[in-house]
Amino acid sequence: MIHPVRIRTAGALLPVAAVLLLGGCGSSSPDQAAAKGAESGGAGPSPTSGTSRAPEATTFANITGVPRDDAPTAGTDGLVVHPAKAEPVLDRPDGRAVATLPVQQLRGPTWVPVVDRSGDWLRVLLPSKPNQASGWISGKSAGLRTAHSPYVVKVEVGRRRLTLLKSGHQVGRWSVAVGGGRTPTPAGRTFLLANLAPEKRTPSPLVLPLGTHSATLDSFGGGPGTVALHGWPDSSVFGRAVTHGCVRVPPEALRELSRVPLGSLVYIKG
Amino acid sequence: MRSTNVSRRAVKAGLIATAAGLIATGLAAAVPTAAGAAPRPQGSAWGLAASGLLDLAPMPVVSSADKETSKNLLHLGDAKLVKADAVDVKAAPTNARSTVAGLGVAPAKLTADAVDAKCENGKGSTRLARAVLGGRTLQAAPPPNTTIPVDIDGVGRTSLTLNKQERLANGKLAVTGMELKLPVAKGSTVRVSSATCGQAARHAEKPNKPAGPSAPKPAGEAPAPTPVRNDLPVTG
Repeated sequence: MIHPVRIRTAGALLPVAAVLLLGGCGSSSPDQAAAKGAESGGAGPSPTSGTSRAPEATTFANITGVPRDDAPTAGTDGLVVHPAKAEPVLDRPDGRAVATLPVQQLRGPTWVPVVDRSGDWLRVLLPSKPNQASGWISGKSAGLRTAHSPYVVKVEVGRRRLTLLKSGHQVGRWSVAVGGGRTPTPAGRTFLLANLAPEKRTPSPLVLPLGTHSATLDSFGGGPGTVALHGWPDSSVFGRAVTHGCVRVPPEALRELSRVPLGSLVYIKG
Repeated sequence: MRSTNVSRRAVKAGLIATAAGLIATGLAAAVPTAAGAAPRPQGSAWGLAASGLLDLAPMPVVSSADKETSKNLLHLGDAKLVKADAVDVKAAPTNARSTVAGLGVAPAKLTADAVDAKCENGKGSTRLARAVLGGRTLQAAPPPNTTIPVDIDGVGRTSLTLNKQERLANGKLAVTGMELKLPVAKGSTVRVSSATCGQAARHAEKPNKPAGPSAPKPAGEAPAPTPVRNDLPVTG
């Protein structure tokens, strides 16, 4: 069992981050088809507090008390996980439940990347606000499915280009449109959250939401400001900073990106 | 700084011997870890490194692609920040070992009689002798990548990783006995006892997977996604 070690040097004790049990928009979304409530991890490590009121970690939620990704440029071994049930998300190994990870995101399966480990605990990136949200889940939880993605997506906002890598080898590199000056594409490490086929195929037949949000738009078009990769019918936008945060990609890039497993890491360099 | 003084050598030998004795007492066998194809057997090791709080390049460093080589040093660092009384490092093509004796990281109230990191044919392990963090004794044989949150009052929250094991881009396994991140300066890190070695080509498991019989087994490559009919307003 791991507990934080408190070291007193001077001044007052550091306040422990409070768990704010807000549901955000996640529980009210029609996309949250399953995974109500949460269960403990069976034979694996279990949280030290209840999780029934913890908010679902979805793109609609704003979760407090979660640790931020502290290595936003670091690589991983490509491990991604899919929960078989609503999975308690803790603020640290053996810590407190601050969220639950539902089995579905936007009507598709939840796959999140593992960015760190501690014993049997896995630190995963979460798709919720604030950006860079992460949390710890039990690696021994019953039914937890693991797999490896050989893909990495790199978005260079300054150069306005996107590179897709598979096992370290470049699959393709394309000129793309990125966020404009007042609505920049947020930098950091995130992941492919979903693969959506919208009812209207224009402006894009596929939309690939990421686990990050615009830092300047609290909501957009009725959504929570989710940043996505998607196509665009007018090729003149590629190479320009003209979007509200999304990354518009050419048709070939969208075709390649649509095959990349969910949970694969996306590095956005500002 | 290297000592040539005979009495210092005796002290150093004593410290290393004591540390080895402490570590050898009552500790389990090496913890198997990940392995993969090693492009070229070469081991390396270093003792102490720090950045931010105190800029200390890894030292002493030793590496070998053929016969075993070793180095040792006395009195590294600064007692007010990061210090080690003695360091002994060894490397051979498929194994390496680093032992740091008399470790002290004053800002984190971290001390250890010895930190011993080993890498042997794709297996890594770390042994700690009388390691104490903020008054709490640390596990003598921590599992790979054990992370301990640390609250330093007046400074902030940070973490101590024990027995850090990571796969390098060249396929080798790197074991770091301790890695302490400090919030006192951006990117401030102290690393203690590192051993890196090539691995046997037959082993092909992924690194650092959770231990235990009920740990999930990697299911191979992640599946290609299937588009689902749904509309989400995004930041076009």
